[in-house]
Amino acid sequence: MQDISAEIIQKASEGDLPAFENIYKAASSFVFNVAFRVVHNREEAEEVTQDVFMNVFRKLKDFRQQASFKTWVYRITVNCAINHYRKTAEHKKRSVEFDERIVSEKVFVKQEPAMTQEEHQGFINELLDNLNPDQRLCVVLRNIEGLSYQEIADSLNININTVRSRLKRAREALINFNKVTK
Amino acid sequence: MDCNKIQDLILTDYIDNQMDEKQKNMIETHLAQCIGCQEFTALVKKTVVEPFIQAERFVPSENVWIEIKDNIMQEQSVKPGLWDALTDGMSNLLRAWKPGLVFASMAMLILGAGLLRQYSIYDQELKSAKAVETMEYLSSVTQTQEGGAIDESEGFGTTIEKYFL
Ligand SMILES: [Zn+2]
Repeated sequence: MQDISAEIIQKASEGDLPAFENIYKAASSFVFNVAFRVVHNREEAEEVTQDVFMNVFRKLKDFRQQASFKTWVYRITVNCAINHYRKTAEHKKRSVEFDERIVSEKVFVKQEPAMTQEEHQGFINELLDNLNPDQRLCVVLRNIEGLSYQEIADSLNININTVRSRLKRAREALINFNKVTK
Repeated sequence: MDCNKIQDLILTDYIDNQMDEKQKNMIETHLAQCIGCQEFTALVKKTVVEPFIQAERFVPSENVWIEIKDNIMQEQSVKPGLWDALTDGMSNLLRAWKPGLVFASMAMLILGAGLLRQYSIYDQELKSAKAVETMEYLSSVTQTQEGGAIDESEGFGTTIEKYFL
């Protein structure tokens, strides 16, 4: 996520829409991509993105400048995405058989020597599908968004050692998955 | 340190570059003399780091910002409370009035304002509708030429206090 100046944050907190648009421009890529990796669907990720920015706008008045703005936005993003995921998880259970069939077809594709870009993106989704939501978030924040362990801990409101153990378990699962499909 | 502990660190802090130099040197000294851990490191890089390096970044459609902006503007347009709207309307009215009428009209406005305040528990939109209605009524009663109805584009931001300063 790009840096946002204290002046922009101040202006936006007073309701200045152009200032808030600057915040959107700096943060929307992070928000949308994290949401997309959690909910796996463009439309839903856009819903989450809207939700996040409405939350940011409404709560901006109460935002304390001494806290990190980025971490604050990370946290709102993660909460909105997870809430959305949980709300729709029940619905998704019904289509799980269909998803499994798609995954098994993709495993075959993965064995081809050179993956196309599209296949590679499918493979990334497949890898993430092997993880529970907590592990998946840690991997997305670390490997795709490049957050430090401390930033991940702050975003998820967990201990830094919990970040370590989630990443460890997630990666063990990925290594196993790789062995199974080889 | 045994290979299991080393590999735990390789799987997390080492490949994520979350180590200080001292820890990093310790791992690399071990790696230099342990083929098993070298192979493990290569496997980890290949299976849990490299696939994500080329992860596609998605861009939300333009509609997302448009809808956020619309929502905010909608929230902002109902935000100024009845009292603000009313006082703004009053200052507009007062501006148009002849000085001799000010005292008598103030009394009337305060009466009207007190009455309108009762509406504060109602829905915001209802409030502004009522405010506009009442201001139109007041302006027609006093036969002013302008400033009777609340003009949203320029009305907000001034208050009756300012007028009297
Ligand atoms: Zn070793």
